[in-house]
Amino acid sequence: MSGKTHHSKLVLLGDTAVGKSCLVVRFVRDEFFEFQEPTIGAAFLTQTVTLDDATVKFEIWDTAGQERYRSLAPMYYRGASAAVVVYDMTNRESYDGAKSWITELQRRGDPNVILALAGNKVDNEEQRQVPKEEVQEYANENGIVFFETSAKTAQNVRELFVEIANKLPKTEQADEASAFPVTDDVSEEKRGCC
Amino acid sequence: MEGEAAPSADQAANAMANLNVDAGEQEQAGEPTPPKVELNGTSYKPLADGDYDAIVLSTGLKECVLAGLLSVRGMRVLQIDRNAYYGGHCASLNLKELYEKHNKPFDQNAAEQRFGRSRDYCVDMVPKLLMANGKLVKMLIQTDVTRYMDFNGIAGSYVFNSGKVYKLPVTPTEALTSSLVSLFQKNALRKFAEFVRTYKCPKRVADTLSKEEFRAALVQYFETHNPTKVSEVDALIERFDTKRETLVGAMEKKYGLPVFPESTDVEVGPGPVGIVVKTRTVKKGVAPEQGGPIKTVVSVEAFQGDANNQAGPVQASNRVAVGDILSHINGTSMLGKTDEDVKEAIRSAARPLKITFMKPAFDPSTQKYDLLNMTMRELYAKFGLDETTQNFLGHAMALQTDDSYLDKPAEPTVLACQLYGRSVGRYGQDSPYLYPNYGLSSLPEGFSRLSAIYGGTVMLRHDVDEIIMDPSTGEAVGVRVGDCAAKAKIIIGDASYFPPQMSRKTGSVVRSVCLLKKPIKSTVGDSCQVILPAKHLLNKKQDVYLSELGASLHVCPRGVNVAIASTTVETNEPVAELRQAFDLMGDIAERFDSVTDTFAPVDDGTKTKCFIVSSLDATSHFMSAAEDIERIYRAIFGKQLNLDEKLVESQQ
Repeated sequence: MSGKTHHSKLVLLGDTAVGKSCLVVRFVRDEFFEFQEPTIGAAFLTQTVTLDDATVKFEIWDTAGQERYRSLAPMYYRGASAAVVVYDMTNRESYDGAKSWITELQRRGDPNVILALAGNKVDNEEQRQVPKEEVQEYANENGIVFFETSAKTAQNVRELFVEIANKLPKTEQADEASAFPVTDDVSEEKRGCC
Repeated sequence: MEGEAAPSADQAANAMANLNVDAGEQEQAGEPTPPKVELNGTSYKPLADGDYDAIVLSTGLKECVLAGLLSVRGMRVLQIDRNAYYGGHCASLNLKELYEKHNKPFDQNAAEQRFGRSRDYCVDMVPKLLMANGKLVKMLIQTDVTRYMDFNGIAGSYVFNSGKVYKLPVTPTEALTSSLVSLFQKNALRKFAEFVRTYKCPKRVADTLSKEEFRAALVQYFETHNPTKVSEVDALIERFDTKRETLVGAMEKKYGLPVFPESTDVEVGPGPVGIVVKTRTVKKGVAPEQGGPIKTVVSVEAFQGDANNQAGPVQASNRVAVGDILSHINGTSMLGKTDEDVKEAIRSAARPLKITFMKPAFDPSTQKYDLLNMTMRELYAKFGLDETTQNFLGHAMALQTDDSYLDKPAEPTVLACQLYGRSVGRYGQDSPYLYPNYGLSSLPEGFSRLSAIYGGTVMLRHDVDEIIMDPSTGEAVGVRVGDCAAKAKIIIGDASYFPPQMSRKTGSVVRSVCLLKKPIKSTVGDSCQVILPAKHLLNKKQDVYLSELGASLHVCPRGVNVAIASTTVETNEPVAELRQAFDLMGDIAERFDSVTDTFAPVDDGTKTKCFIVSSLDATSHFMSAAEDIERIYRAIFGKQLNLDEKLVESQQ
C-alpha cells in the first residue's frame, strides 16, 4: 500500500428521488434512512478508499436539488474526475433520465471523466422495470462502470466506489498549486497601508 | 409561515421545518403540493412548490448572494432566470458566445487558429475584481462558499498619471521610494500611511441594530440627557435613516456622553484605588430648562502608584485608560456628580467595591482626528498632501469614482485606504485583488449552490410574465410564469424583471473587451488593474477602469490576455472615452464594444415588497455591489448584515 493520496472530485447525477443522497450517505457514513431528507447544509462529503497501491480521497458533490429543473451550474461539473449517474431500477423513466444525464455530462464535463451508472433500489426486485442486461449492454458499449446497488442493504455500494477508484488515473494533478485557499485565519493587523 | 409580511429571524426555525427540495415529488414530500395557487382570487397551477418566502429573479451576482443569505437564514427561496445560464448580466462567456453576443460573425476555425479553443475562454461581461479583505470576500468566507471554488491573486495594481502607468505605493517604505510621489510629498505621505495603518475605527454599532433597537437606545439617551427631545426621536430616525452614525456623532457632541457606552467593571479590594480623578464638564452653557440633568462627569485624570510604585488595581486591570469616565460605583450612577462626590462614594463604600468605567464618546488619546466631523479635504490638508497625491489616494486606493468624496466625512475614505492596505498580500498576492478561477460567473454559481444546499430551488430558462401585486395593499404577492404561479412574501431581482416604473435609468456604462497577444506594457505578470483617474484624461469626469486577466486565472489560453476597459458614459461617442485605456493596451487583436444602460430602484422596496438590485456599475471592483447587497439585506431584515460572524454552521 503506497502512501500517495489522490484527491478526486466526484459528482452525482440523476433524476430527483432515485436515491443519490442515500447512496452517498451509505458509502460515507454507512447509514440508511427510509425517508432521507433532501440534502441540506452539506457542501460535499468526503470518503477515502484504500487500494493496493494508492489511496483515493473522494470529495463527493451532491446536486442539492439543482437537478430538478436541470439547473446545475458549470461549476458543478468543473474539475470532476468521476461521475456517478444514478437511476431507480423500479422506474423506467429514471433510466431514460440517466441516459440524458450522461449526454449532458459528455457535453459539459471533462472528456476524461470516469463514468459510472448505478441502478439503485435493487433490494426491490419484484418492482423491477429496467432489465439488468439492457443496461449492461449500454454500459459496455459506452465504456461505463455499471453496478446495481441498494443503499438500503448496502449491496454493491462500496464496490461501486472502489471500482471507480481503481479506474482513476493516478497521475499528478496539474494546476492545483496555483490556487490558494481563501480563509479567515490570517492575522489582519500586521498589514501595511498607504 | 403566515402572519407578517416581512420575514423575520423568528421564522428561520419555522421555515427549516418546511424545507422541501423535492416537494414536487409527493411520495417524498410528506405534505402534498397544493393543487392550485390562489392569488388575488385567480387560480394558477403551482410554479415549482407554489409557495415561498422569497422569489429571486435573475441569477446575477447580487441576486445569488441574496438568495444564498436568505436560504441560510431558513427562508424558502425560489430563484428564476430567463436565460439558460447563470450570471444574468454578469455571465462569463466562451469565445463563440463572446462573438455572438457582440454580433460579430464567428468563424470557428479562423478564430480558434488565432486565439485558441473557444471552450478555454471565460470572459466576463462585467469585469470586476475582489478586494481580498473586502465585504464580498467576507460574504464568501462566512458562508463557506470559498469551499466550492478556487481563487488566485491579481498580479499588480496600477494608477495612470500624466500618460504613464505607476505601481501604487502601499507601505510607508514604498511611499518613500515610489517615483509617483514627488520628493516634497514623500514624508507627508509616509506620515499619512502610518496614520491610516494605525487608525482604529471606533465600534460603529448604530447600523447593526434593527430600527426598534436603535429607537430604544435613542429614547433612553434622550430621557437621560434631554427629555424634551424624546418626542422628536421618530422624526430624527426617519431623517437620518441612512446616516445613523452622523446622528449619533451629533448627539454625542452635543451631550458629551456616548450613545452606545462601552463599559468595563473593575473590582477593587482594600487599599488605595490608585487613580486621580477630575470633574469634567460635558455640556457647556445649556440652561437647565433646555438641557438634561447631566452636566459633569468624573474621569480618570492619571494613575498613581503606591509607596512602592506598584500600579493600583485599576491600572493593573489593563482595561482602563486615562480619560475614561467613572460611570457607576457598586451599581450607583456617578454621572452628573463631581470629583468630591465620587471620592466620597469610594471612601464610604464597603470593599471589595465595583467601579464601572465608561469609554468617553471621543477619546483624544487614541483618535487624533475626529474623522466623522471633518472632511477628507480637511484631513489631506492636515497632512499637507498635494493634489497629485490626493488623486491617487482617493481614486486608485480608496476607489472613489469622482471628487465628491473630498467634501464628505473623512472616515469612509480613510477606512477604504486601510482596507486596500490590509488586502495587499493578504493571501500572498502582490495586489489587493483576488479573482475566482474560471471567471466571475463562479461567484453567482457558488452562492446559488449555497442557496440550493439550504433548500432553495433554481429554475433556469423560465421567463417571468408578471409580478402579481395585491391591488388593495400595493404589495407584491407572487409571480406568474405562463399559467403557473408561485406565492412569495418578498420578491428580489434585477430591474428588467419588474414593471418599468419601479426603476429609473441611472446612466450607461461602456465596456470594451479586448483580446491581446501580449500583457499590458510596464506591468508585471499576466493580470492587473489600472485605474485612470478622470483628472488625467481628456474631457472625462468619471474614472476609467482597466482590468487585465490571463491564463493563470483560467479565463483564456496561454499567449492571450483579456483586457476590459470600462467607464460611465458621458458623451455621444462612448467608445472614444476609453481611448487612453486602449493606448495602454498596445496592439489589440480583437475588440468587442458594448454600451449597457444601468438602473436603480425608485424606492427601497419595503412598501411594494419588491426589492430591486441596482445594475453593476463601471468600477472594476465589487465595493459598490457589496454595499448594494447590504442595502437590500437591511431593507428586508431591518438590520445590517453582520460579516464578523459565520453565517453557516461550519463543517470539517
